[in-house]
Amino acid sequence: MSEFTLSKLEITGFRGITARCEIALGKPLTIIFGQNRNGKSSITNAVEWCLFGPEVAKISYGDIRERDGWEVQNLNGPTCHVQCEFLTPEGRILTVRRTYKTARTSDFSYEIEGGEKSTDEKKLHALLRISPNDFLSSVHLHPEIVRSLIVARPKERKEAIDRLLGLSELRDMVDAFVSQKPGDWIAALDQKLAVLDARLTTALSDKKRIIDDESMDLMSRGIEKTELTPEGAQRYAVKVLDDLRGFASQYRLTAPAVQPPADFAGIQQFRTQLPTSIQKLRNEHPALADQGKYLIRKSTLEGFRSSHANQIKNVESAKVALTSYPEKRSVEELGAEVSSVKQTLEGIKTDIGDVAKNARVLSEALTFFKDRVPDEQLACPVCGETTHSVDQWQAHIQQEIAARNLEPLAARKQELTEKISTLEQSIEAKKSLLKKATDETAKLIASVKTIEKALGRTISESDDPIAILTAEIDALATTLSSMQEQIAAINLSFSGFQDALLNLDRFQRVGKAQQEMAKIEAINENDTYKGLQALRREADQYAEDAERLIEGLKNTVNKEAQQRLANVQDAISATFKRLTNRPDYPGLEVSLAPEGFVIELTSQSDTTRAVPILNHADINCAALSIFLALAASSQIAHRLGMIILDDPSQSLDIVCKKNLCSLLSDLCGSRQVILATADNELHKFADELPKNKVSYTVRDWTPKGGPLVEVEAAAEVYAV
Amino acid sequence: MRFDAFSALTDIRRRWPIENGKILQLLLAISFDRRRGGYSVISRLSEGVDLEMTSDASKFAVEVKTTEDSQVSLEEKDITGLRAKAADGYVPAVAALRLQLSENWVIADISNFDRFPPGSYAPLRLSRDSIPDLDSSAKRHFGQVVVEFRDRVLSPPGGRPLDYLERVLCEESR
Repeated sequence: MSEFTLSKLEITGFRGITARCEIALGKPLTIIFGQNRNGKSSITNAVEWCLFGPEVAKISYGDIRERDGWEVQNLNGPTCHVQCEFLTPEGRILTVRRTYKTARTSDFSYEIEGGEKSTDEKKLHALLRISPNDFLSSVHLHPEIVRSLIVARPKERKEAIDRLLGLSELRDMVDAFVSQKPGDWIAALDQKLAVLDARLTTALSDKKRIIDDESMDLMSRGIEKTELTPEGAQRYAVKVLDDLRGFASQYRLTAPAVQPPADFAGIQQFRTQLPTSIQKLRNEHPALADQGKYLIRKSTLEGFRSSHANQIKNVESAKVALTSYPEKRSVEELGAEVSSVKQTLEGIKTDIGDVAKNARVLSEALTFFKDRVPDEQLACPVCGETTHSVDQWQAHIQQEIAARNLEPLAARKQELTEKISTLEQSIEAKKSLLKKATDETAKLIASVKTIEKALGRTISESDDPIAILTAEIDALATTLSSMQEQIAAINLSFSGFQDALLNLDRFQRVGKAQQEMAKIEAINENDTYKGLQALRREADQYAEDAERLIEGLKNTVNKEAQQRLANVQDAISATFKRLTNRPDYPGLEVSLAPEGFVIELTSQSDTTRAVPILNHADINCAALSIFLALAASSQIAHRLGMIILDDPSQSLDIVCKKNLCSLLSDLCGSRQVILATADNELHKFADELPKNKVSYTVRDWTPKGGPLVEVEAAAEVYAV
Repeated sequence: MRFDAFSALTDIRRRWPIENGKILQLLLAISFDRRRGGYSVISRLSEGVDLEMTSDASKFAVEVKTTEDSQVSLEEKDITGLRAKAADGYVPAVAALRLQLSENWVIADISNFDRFPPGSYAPLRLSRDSIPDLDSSAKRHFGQVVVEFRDRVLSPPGGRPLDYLERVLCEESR
């Protein structure tokens, strides 16, 4: 054999294996027989783990259920270590070692007999020209992978057959190019450029709207369309200044000191200075000054007239209030009466004091005579009534004095006090009315004085200030009226200047918008923008090149696939025929189709799709046919001269199993075959093959002890 | 193209959405006419190649394509027409315009018909085979023509913009 073959396998603590297990594989055919769950797959899987490490545990290709949650390290083993020894085409030993560290890491090394040790896994894979995926599809045949050649989804089938044909690298390259989707990238770039374009368009539309609106305004104010340019704006500004100067000259006013704008940019400053100059002209204009003066005087005199008329009314009103007061006597007369009444009141008060004094004397006298006067003499000296005791007599006299003297006097006193109060109130009211009349009269006199001062003339008592004021106001109104036309003309000029200011603002907005539009439009000429366009062109070129390259690669891969298939087509069909012996469709054909590969059954007269009419065993046979034919051919790209078949006889009947062994026997001529099976019949047929082989039995697996692996003596003997 | 031209094209498209493609064809034809581009131009609105442009030095048969998307469509009948014209000594060309502010007419020589099978083409891709003289002439005149004829295309004498532009092309080609 001109390829690498596996000569020895040492396994410790890997998956189902606990203690160290050494298996010699140096024969063309190795049979590993044992019932399920005794460690056969642990032995076959140890080879791929040794070569590829944690990478193979991650592979989900081909729906290999065993890989779900792969436990690499056997927890009952001392360590987890696998060593494979390969015989190189040159006859030397290639030793590959791997020791488990964690689920994701391991220690790896390899060396070729006499050479240096290396830890570079990629180098080893390059030496063997194989990847983990390739190993699982073209060296180590799991039943699931075999079936994927036939019944899997088109993409998976295509990948499986590609790997068997050694086309996977080329396919991967095509896929890598296709996945770049240069068309999408260009579309995204175009989208971004379109967004930029839309933004520019919006910005320009906004500016254009400003220009259109302002231009419309300017044209409606008599500005020609042709003048709607920066130069036109400048000419307009000069014209405004000329008009101002002409106006100043016409009325002999000081000419504005503002300079005309040198260019469009200068309009800004010109516009800022202009209002001050206009205001100055307005302030200095004699007609406007006169008008102001007359208006103020007229307004002042009208105020005086109104005020004076009001004052006359106030005086009259005060006089009416005084004369209509009910108490007609003068303040002096009222004062005299108050004095008289007060005198009378004082007399009353004296009388009351005298009566009270006499009453006290009488009372004291009666007290003195209380025990000395006999009861029969107790007659009232006032009314003559007799009493029974001095006490009663005394009380009676007090009552009589009060009723007949004191009470009338008190009533009179009250009456006089009230009268004084009333008189005093009248005095106060009359004084107030008198004062009001006096004050209002004084104001009226002051008003006349003010009018005299305003008019600059004396107003005698015979003059009517209102009439005089009215005459003066009318004269002013006449003067103002005579000025009206001239003032209107002047104001029209100033109004024109104000409009011109607003027009200058519009010109500036138009000019600014035009400048901004020019700047935005100049983006097209900008180096960055040009660079972007160039980049876009390059991207387009790249996309076209990539499309051509992809197309070319696809064609190349397909042609290569067709060529390689053509080379093995007969072998596939012959293998299928040997395996199944179908009378209706003895042949099997694999051909290239747009969606991948089509697998069809053939007879001398007919061809039909395989999957719909094949039973489970036939499907397995078809898959095995493709795999074995390709594995036996020279199309295989890798350098491992072996195949590992793990349980290949599922669903096969006894005839098929026998046929399979016959095929494997033939394959042993070109490939090292390692067959793991739990099938007694297949084991028996394989054991009977007249080939140089070694056969192991794997049995009695326990969690702590692992399997018991024994070399079958008969096979060894035969081999010897 | 300049914004005023783009803006005018936008107005024309809004006013005449159905006739827009043919209006652009005629405006392009006027851009190349004797007065502006120096060519004698025949424009066809229904059958045959859209434009035939001849001068003392050269003859072009031009299929005019405009799009608001990113690609113009070159159909079998377009190719057939251009092939026939190429047999008569015309340079077969495609004039493509993407209606965007940043775009200008691309006028591409498609003499190598193998490289231009029927399908969709981005104007940018066609620009690799552009005819520089025609490109620059279109760039120089088309915008001016659009702005110049905008108002009359929007309100054409007689109410039909295509009739009006055909008359203009006819008069200017004399």
